[in-house]
Parts: sequence; structure tokens; C-alpha cells
Amino acid sequence: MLSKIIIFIAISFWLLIFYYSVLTTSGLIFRVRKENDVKNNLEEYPSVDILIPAHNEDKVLFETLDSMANLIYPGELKIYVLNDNSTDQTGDIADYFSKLYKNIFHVKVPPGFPKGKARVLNYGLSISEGEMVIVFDADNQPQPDAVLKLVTKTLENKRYAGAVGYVRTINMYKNFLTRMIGIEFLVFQLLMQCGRWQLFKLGSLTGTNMLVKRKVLKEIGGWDPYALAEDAELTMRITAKGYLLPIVPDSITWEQEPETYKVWLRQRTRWMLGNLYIVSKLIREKTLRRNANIVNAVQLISIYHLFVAMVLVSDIWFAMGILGRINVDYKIPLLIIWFESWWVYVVQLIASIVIDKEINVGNIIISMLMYFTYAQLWILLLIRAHLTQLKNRLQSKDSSTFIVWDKTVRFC
Amino acid sequence: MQFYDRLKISIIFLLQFIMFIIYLNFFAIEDFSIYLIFMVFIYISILIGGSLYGFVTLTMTTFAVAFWQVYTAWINGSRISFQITLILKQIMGIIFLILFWVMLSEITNITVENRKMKEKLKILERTDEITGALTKSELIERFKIIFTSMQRRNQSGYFVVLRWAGLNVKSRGKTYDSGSIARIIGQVCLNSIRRQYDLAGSLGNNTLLIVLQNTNLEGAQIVVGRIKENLKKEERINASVLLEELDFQIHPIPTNLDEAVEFINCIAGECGGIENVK
Repeated sequence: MLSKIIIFIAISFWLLIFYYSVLTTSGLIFRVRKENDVKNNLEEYPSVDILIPAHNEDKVLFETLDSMANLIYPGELKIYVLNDNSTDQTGDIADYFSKLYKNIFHVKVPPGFPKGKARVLNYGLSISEGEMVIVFDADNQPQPDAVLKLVTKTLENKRYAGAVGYVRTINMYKNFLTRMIGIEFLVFQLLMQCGRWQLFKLGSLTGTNMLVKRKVLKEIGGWDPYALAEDAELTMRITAKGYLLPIVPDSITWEQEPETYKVWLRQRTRWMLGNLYIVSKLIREKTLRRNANIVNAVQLISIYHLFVAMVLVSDIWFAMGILGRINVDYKIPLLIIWFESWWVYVVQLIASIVIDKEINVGNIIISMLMYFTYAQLWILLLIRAHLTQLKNRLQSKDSSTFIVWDKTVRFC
Repeated sequence: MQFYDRLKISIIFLLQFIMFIIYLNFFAIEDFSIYLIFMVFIYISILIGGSLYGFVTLTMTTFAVAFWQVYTAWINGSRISFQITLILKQIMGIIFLILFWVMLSEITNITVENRKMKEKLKILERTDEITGALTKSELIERFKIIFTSMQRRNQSGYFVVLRWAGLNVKSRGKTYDSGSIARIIGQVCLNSIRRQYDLAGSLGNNTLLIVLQNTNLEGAQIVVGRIKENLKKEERINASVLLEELDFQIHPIPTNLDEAVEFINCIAGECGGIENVK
């Protein structure tokens, strides 16, 4: 019996690794093909509203708004700073820019419940009227052509509900952690996104540097205020309606990532809790289980649970491989299985740093170490998220109130 | 090709050769033939599509080898020594391929990148990236030429200094300078001067200096008026607010070149600021 279980796990494990390898390769092919570059051939430019939710963001907001003011877009472009009851100098910075620029607006969001980005975005949606709605986080510095490329791509096809840009790490070289996050974003956030688009025509909104048409947002009822991962939740509902979300690697924004393990852990716990919420919503609501959402669901589960399962299985292979083999009927080459899974993981990481021109000796070494360091942290993360969810559920009888927004701390 | 590039490529080639020799010393040549075939694939990919196409082929090759290794080990047995041998063969073979790709990519990229970088460097050396105005060193160089010709023709000229304040965020203990505002002011200035005669230079994050040749005070005032008018035409900014923030100063160009250059340096903040200009 044990033999069969182990063989089953080994085969499943390798199928998953195979899937990730195919995604990586498809992503690479997508990136190198010139016909995927966005060509600006628009004759008319639709009106665009940029929504920037901001709660105590005075460490980063000046640079963000400075970058927004530098955006090049020939059509009507309005930028709304949605000040969510900040107690620091966020308001002063927003005022400075709104006085200087006619198209930058400082909007004070009334207090309300539930707290969080989704509610603020819904408020932003209610006070703006542009045809296209773009969301940027308050720590983002988009490149001048980022918006134009998102709009151009969206208008290529009527089935496109919007477009998803690319998020790069602005503080990638700050320390060991930010380097690992930067590399992780390069592979999982972009390369595999491109791979999924190339293979399944499936894109996932990333929460920032993303465009959604206003009429689509109205059709699906805006953002779910209870979703902690509001971007992934919105993706599910958009996909269920049969719309597509193309990936635009040329539309680049630069974002700050956590510089300490504590902040990283809190941020990712929130993401993971948001992920669990969506999975449970997917199970509850039959209307969501349509179109490419099956792949989306696999993706959601694979990001955290399957990935952590892979890391755990891989750790076990390694221990077994080193100690000899386990007592089963079939002889399994555990050492080579472990080595190859590590190797495939490293190749995926290196592929992403090559394609995004971040290749250097330091990043190669870190890619080789990430399995032993960063990947192992995810086990801790998964346990923490499940414990937090259990604790929240036990403390609150109402399912709508156990979700608590936890804002990511910024760094100077 | 620079000496460093030549050295790098010869080292990569040498490493590749060493890897090949080590492989042959420990394992059979037949085992290596698969890597030689992959090498040809990578070469053809680079030839057709460039270094990134070659990289895609290299990545696919690497995945294929990994899956083949698992299959081979699964079929042929799980002895630790056998597995270690397989791993060693793979490491050497893949390193050989990677070195081959790196070498070819380096050769194809170096020439192109060198040319592009040289062109970009030339532009960057002359102009400020944000404002599009001249850098301080370029401004001084060009000013010296203008100054000489002005003296020869016995003409007078004027400096126009534009300064604006940043935002002081007390809670951060920091003053922020806006790049977007600098860009707009820089472009407006460039569009408001006679570009074939006059100069505009960027002297820090929030200071621009315009050099007007062959003009008098009235002419300098006309240029200032034109800048203000052009700022009002900018669609996305509130010109009235920005104009309140802007400080215009008009100074005659000193008759001595050293004094004139010292003036520019002072405006750039190198002698304690414009207040210390003689």
C-alpha cells in the first residue's frame, strides 16, 4: 500500500513540475515573440481614470504621484488619490499635486466598513466616470508609457475586459529578502502569467498596474469588499463572464516590496487568506465555475497549497535519498528526483532573470539558494494562514466580519 | 571589442574546453553526443532569432534533460552511486551548454550593446534626463563659446534663473523635488527660447538657467513673459499655482568669463547659492 502511495505521489509531483516547466517555456516563447509587443495604432483615445487607494502612505506617495504626472497619454486622463482616512501627511502630498495638476484629484474617502482596498476602490469607481479604470497601489512608479500600452492592448479585442501590466520590484537590491521577492515576482508574477496567457488565454489581475473597462466593472458589481485578495476575486468573476484579461509585459510599474521578514509574512498571510476566501467562494457559487475559471482555480490552489506540498515532498525525498531508500516494493531513485526538482526550480528562476535582464552572479547564487530558504518559508506561511483563519472564525460568528484588512508597511 | 570582453570570452571558451575534457576523462564520448546535438540546436536558434531564442532552446533542453534523467533512473535502478553518476554527467553537460550559450550571446550582444550605449552616453552627457535641458558641464562648455563670440561682436547677454521649491514633508524630515514639474518647466523653457542662439541648462533638481545672447533687459523680460504664457498653455497643470511657486531672476552676464562661470557654479549651489553671487 505504501509503495503505491509513494509512486502516486512521485508521479503527481512530476506532473506538477512538468506543468510548471511547460508554463515557463511558454512564457519564454511569449516574451521573445516580437508580435506580442504592443503597437500604438489608436485613432481615438478613451477617457481613463487612475485610482490610487492610499492609507498612511507619506513614505512613498510623493514619488508615486510624480510618476503619475509623468504618464504619457494623449486622451483624457484623471488621477484620483483615494485617501482612506490617513493620519500622516498623505493628504498634504495629495494636495500639493492636486493644486499643481488639473488632472490629479485628492479624494477623501468617508470612513466605512469593511476596511480595505476593495471598499476604497468601489468608492473611487462611484465618484469617477472614465471609460477605462486603472488601479495603481500607492507605492507604484509606472513607466511613462504604461497606461497607453494597457489601453492599446485592451482595445485590440472586444472580448478583452481590460489588461494586466507587469510589476517589477523597485527595491530588489535592498537586501537578501527583497532580492528573493524580486526574483519570485519575475518568475511567478510575469513569466508564468505569460505562459498561462500563451497556453490558455488566461490572465490574472495583479492588484496594481491593471486596467478594467468601467462597463465590465459595472456589469459584475465592482469589487467584493470582503475579499482580501480583491484582484484574484475580481479575476474570477470577470473570467466567469467569458471575458479575457491579456498580459502586457511592456507596461511596467515599479513597486516596493517588504524589506523585513515580519512585514513579508504579514503581507503574504493576507494574500493567502484572500486566496482561501476565493476558493471557498468558488465552491459555494456555481456561477463562478465557468469558462477558464477551472484553470484559475488550479492556479489559486497551486500558488500556495500545491507549491508548499511540492516543497514538503521534495524535502522528504531529499531526506530519504540521503538516508538510503525507504522500504517499499518498488525501488525509487529518490536522490535524483530531489535533485531534478531542485534543478527545474532553479532553471525556472534563472530563465526569468535572464529574460528580464537581471542576470548577474548574485542573482544566480540566490536562485540556487531560494529552494533552501525562501521556498521553505512558505511552509511556515501556509500554517500561519490556516491558524489565523481558524482563530478568526472562532472569534467571530458572522462570516463577514472575520476578515481583517492588514495593510503592508512601507519603507523609506 | 574591449580587452575585458576579449578576456571574458576566452575564459568562457577555456572553461568550456576544460568541461569537455573532464567529461571525456570520466564518462564515455557517446554520452556526450546528446549535448553536442543540443549545442547545434542552440547555435541555430541564436543564428535565427538572436540570443533570447537561443536561451529558450537552452531552457527547453535543460527541462528535457531533467525529465530524461528521472526516467533513466527510474528504469535502470535506484543505486545511490548510479544516481550520483547521472547527476554528475548532467551537471557537466548542462554547464557545457550554458557556457556555449553565454559565449555566443556575449559575442553577438557586445557589439550591438556597445554601439547603443555609446550613442546613449553621448546624449546623457549633454542633456539632463528629466528636463531635457543641458547638463551643467555641457552648459558651461557651450557658454564659453557663446561668450567668446559675444565679446568679439561686443554684444551683451543675460542670464535668466528659474527656481522652484519642493514639498517639505515634516513627518519624514525630507524635502521632495518633483521630477514631473522639472520636466514640464524644462520643456516649456526649451520651447520659449531661440534654440539656435540661446542655452538652457539644468543646475540641480529645482533650478534652470537660461543664457540669452545678444539681448538687453527688455529682451530677457520678453523671454520670461513667453515662458509664463507657455506654462499657461500646458493642459494638465494649474499654471497660476505653479507660477506662484516659480521664482524668476534676471542678471546681466558678467563681462569677465571667469566671473560668468563662477556665477553659473554659484547658481548650481557650489558657493553657497545664488545669494553669494557677486
